[in-house]
Amino acid sequence: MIERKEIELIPKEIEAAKSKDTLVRRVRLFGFLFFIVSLLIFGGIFAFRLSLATKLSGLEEDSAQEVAGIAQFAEIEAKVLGLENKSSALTKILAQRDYFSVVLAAVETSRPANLKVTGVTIQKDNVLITINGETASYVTLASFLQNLVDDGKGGKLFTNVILSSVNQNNAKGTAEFVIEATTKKDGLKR
Amino acid sequence: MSTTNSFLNRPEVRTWGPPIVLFVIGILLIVFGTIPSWGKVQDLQSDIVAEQDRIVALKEKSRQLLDFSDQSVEIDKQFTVFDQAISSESQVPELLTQVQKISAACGVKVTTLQFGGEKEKTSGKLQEVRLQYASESSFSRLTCFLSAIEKASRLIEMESLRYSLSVNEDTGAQIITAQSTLLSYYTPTPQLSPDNPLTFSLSDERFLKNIELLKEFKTY
Repeated sequence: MIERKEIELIPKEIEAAKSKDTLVRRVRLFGFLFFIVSLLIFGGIFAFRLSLATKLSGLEEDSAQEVAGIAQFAEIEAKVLGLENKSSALTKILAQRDYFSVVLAAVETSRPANLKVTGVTIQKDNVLITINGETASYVTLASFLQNLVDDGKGGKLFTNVILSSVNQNNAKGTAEFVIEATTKKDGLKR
Repeated sequence: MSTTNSFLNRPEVRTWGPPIVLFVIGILLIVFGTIPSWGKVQDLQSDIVAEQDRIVALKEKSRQLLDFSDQSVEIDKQFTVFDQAISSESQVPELLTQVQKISAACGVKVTTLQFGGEKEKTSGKLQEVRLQYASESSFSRLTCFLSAIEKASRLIEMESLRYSLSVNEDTGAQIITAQSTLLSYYTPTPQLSPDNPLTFSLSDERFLKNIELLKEFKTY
């Protein structure tokens, strides 16, 4: 067998120089293209940003015009807002309001003729009502206590009554009493 | 200078310098130009969307206000009615006169009437004002006063009531001495902002119900 061998006519130094030259050209091309692409992307985004800024500025002018238009109606807007606030407040206030006249009516309805109510203490949002009074008869006092929780009389409002103290006033010949009456929950509301 | 020139004239610098410099400039453009600009672009885009939404809302508010201005006579009329119930800040002092008028209407003698009591609520669209009130009357007149307060067009609540009965030893007449904390309300002047939307309507069911309610109240 005869062995075939290619004869290299070009010197190795020239081959190496050629390949280095190709590499240099490729690197130069890549550097240049990278720079151009970076510049184009930057320029494109910058131009897009400018156009958006211009658009935003135009929109801001439009909204400033609308704001100026709204400012012309300031008086009517103040009245409308005031009306809205007052109306919503009215609903809230009336829903939370305690009607103290209901207590006086319930006490008066339950009071026997010969018993004197000398004082009443009522607090908003407090179910406990203090009733002071005096009577010459313990039977009358018992009747008053019964009436306060009687459904046909004070019982429409009061759920429970406690006689918290009774003092005999010998000078007047009367018994002075203090009653703690508990109202129904939201009993003073309408 | 000669050192710099000799460096730049070196063959490897002349060969590799330009592509490396261009590559570095490209990187710098991306890092310091493109990336921050992209962030700004995104901000601008969201600003534009927000501004477009704002314009739509402003146009809607402008249209509503135009409608309300066409109904200004009705708004003025209703405002006067509601202002009697819950006054504006400037009319708070009139509360004293109104309570005196209600007392006089029921024949109740006012012995104390002054602003004070617990501290006022200072937040929100509704503010409170308190009156310390004391009076002398008969029981029936006190009952009349309570009912009148509850039916007065100016909304006045009783926060507390304490009354005691005393007998005049000379005449034998019974006198009810009442002490009460009265609570009333006022609305401060609304703060106008073009960006606050209007949610009110003259045909709102609750508003119409309130108009009917106020008709039952008596003006003092």
